[in-house]
This record gives sequence, structure tokens and C-alpha cells, in this order.
Amino acid sequence: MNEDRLSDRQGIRIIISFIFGSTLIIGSGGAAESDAWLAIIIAILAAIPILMMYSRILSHFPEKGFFEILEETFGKNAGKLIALPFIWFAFHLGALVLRNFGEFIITVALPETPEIVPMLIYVFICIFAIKDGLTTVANCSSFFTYISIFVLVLFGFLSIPNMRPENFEPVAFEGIKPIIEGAFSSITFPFLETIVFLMIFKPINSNKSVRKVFISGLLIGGIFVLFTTSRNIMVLGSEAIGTVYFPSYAAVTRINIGDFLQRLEIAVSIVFLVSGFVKISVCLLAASKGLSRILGFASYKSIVIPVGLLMTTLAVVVYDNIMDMFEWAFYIWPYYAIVFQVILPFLIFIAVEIKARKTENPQGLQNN
Amino acid sequence: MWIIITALFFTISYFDTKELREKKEIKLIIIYALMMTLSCIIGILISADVNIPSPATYIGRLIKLVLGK
Repeated sequence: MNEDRLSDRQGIRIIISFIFGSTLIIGSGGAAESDAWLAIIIAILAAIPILMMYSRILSHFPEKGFFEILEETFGKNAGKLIALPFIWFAFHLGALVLRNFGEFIITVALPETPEIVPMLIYVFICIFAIKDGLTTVANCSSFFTYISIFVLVLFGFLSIPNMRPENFEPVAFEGIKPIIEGAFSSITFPFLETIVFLMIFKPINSNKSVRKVFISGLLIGGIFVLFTTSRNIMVLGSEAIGTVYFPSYAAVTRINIGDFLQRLEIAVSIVFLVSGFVKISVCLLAASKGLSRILGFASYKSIVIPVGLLMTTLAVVVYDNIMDMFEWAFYIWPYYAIVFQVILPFLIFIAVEIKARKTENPQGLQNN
Repeated sequence: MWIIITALFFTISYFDTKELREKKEIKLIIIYALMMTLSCIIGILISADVNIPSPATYIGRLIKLVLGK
């Protein structure tokens, strides 16, 4: 059995868990405040064609992974050079997500504990999973996706007494600009972060199946992000959405049904941590795979531990404090990530299309 | 503290590279050692409260420069 091949269902579930990742903790589309739900809908719709582009890149070379496609299209050395920014992106994203979870744990649960402790524990769990292969992570996410969705829906319903639908009003009061800014932020975090799957997927069963996995994962994950964001807006209000560090957590802390069902945030925290495990593992896998490919190693498993530990050290030094983290995530990240998520993949897509047409119809191109 | 960190990295590396040493994969062992040494040095510097410059700062500055913000 090829460890990198997942079934369609496993692929969809792992993408859903990946999208949940840190989004459920730090929220998405905060720039749009009470219109964040609108920003997320726009972001989902805008992400669809880009994910179709990702799947098209993979589906031209059914037996090859992304790094092999780059080498096939651009030549061995140029392909390795082009792979470098993607490896960095996966590595950097993994470190940022790890830091998000480190900050989350020490802020809400372990304020006296050094931040590196939960991050090290977290990264070692991811390392053990990745050393077992992508299928292990996919199986974990298959199991936990149902639990995550159940908990999200259940807590959504339990929050109904605290919901004030008037928090959505007025719609687009400050014009279209904040909505577009929120949509731009949402598309780069989390929807197009799925570019990382380009580095770990091989076409699953057929060309159609890659597209199906990407789009279904995006839509299902996106719907739940939309659901959670709408719940947060209704419970916390538009101003709190932009100011609270962990809006979903803050919204769940307000659940109090008859003075009996309360302090439920621990359950939702577990869901956050499980989704984070999938996201960090996928980033770690992508970075390790890419690095082992460009260095010419047969297996990525030998370098998972050093890559994971380097990721942890980057996670520690990457931000000075939690305010720095949020400023970077919302104001710098979209402009930084768009290069890796749209600009570079688009250039690669054009090159792959030309290469594929040349391969399929060499005669025709010569005649032209 | 640096002794504990170094010992920890050395122990992990020793057990994790057992198979590589048996297969005599020299290139892989060198890359492995380089990465582990780098993380070990950064780990020691973090424990000594040395302010290590973050790449995020420079990326942020570059993006602000490009966007003219």
C-alpha cells in the first residue's frame, strides 16, 4: 500500500480538520467585524477556482507528487529551486500554527508554564504521527472530524440563549472595504493554506477525485467556519470579535444552561487541539517531504525529528508576544501568504499546462 | 541548562540515527546533525534569554515597504 495515497473520504476529512486548525481558535475575517460572515462567504467562493487550479496541477501527472512535477516541468535543478519557497511556506506555517496553540494553551489554561513546554509536547505527538505516515494522520482526522463537527454543532445550539441576531446589523455599515479586507484575510487564512496539500497529495484515484477532495473539503470546512464565526458574532457582538484574542473560546465560556451546563470550554478546547494536531502534522510532513526530495533522500521519515525541532525553535522566536502574533496574522500574513498561495502556483500552473500540452500533442505544437 | 539541552538533543539524535548509522547513510547523517545542531544552539540561546531576531520582523518590514504602508 502506498502510504501517500488516501481515499477520497480520508482526503476530504483531513482537509476539513486542516481548515478547522487554528481558525477555530483565533477566528477568521475579523477585519470585517459584524460582516465577517459575509467576508467568509466571499472567501469560500473566491477560493474555489484557486483550489481547482491546484488540483489541475496535480492531475496532469497522476503518478507524481508536486515536487516531482516541478522537476519534470522545469528541469531537475530549477525544479528544486522553485520547490524551496513552498518548503519554507509549509515550515513557516507549521511554526506559526504551533505558536498559535502554544499561546492558546498558556493563555487559557497554563499561564505559569513556559510556552515551549506545551509546544514541545505538541510537536512530538505530530512527529510520532508523521513518522507513521500520512495515513495515520488521515485516520486520526477521519475519527476526530466527526467529533469536532458534533461538538461545534452542539455548542452552537447550546449558545442559542446567548445569541443576539441583531449583532449582524447593520450589514455593510462601513462600506465594502472592510468586507473585502476580511475576505482577503479569510482566503489566505485558512482556505488557501490548503496549498500545503499540493505538496503531500498524489492524485487520489482519478483526476476528478483530486478536485472533488479539494472542493468538498473547502466547502464543508468553510461552512463550519462560517457557522462558528456567525455564532461568535451573535454571542460576542461585532466589537468583541475584533478585540477578543480567542473568540470561539470566549463565546463558549458564556454557555450557561440552568446553572447546570457551564464551564464547557474544556470540551471545545480539545476539539481545537485535535484540529491543530492535524494542521501541524500536515505542515511538518510537507516540509520534511520537500526537504528530503531536494536533498535526494529516499524517505522523509529520517528528517522528521530535526525538522520538527527546528519548527519548534522558529515557533518560539517568531513573535515577541501574543499582540505581535495577532498583528502579524491579520495584517502581514495575507500579503505574505498570497505569494505562495496564488502568485507562484499560478505561474507553475501555466508552465505545467504548457508542458502537459507539449507531452500530449508534440506534433501539433511543432506544426504551430 | 545548556548541558541538559545538549544531552537531550544528543540522546534523541543517537537513538533516531541508529538505522542511518547501520546503513551508513553519511550524507543524511551530516544533514541531520546540522539541523539538530542548529536547533540545539537556538534552544540554548533561548534558554539563556538571548534575543534571537525573528524572520517575521524582516518579512513584515519588507511587506510594509512593498505596500508603502
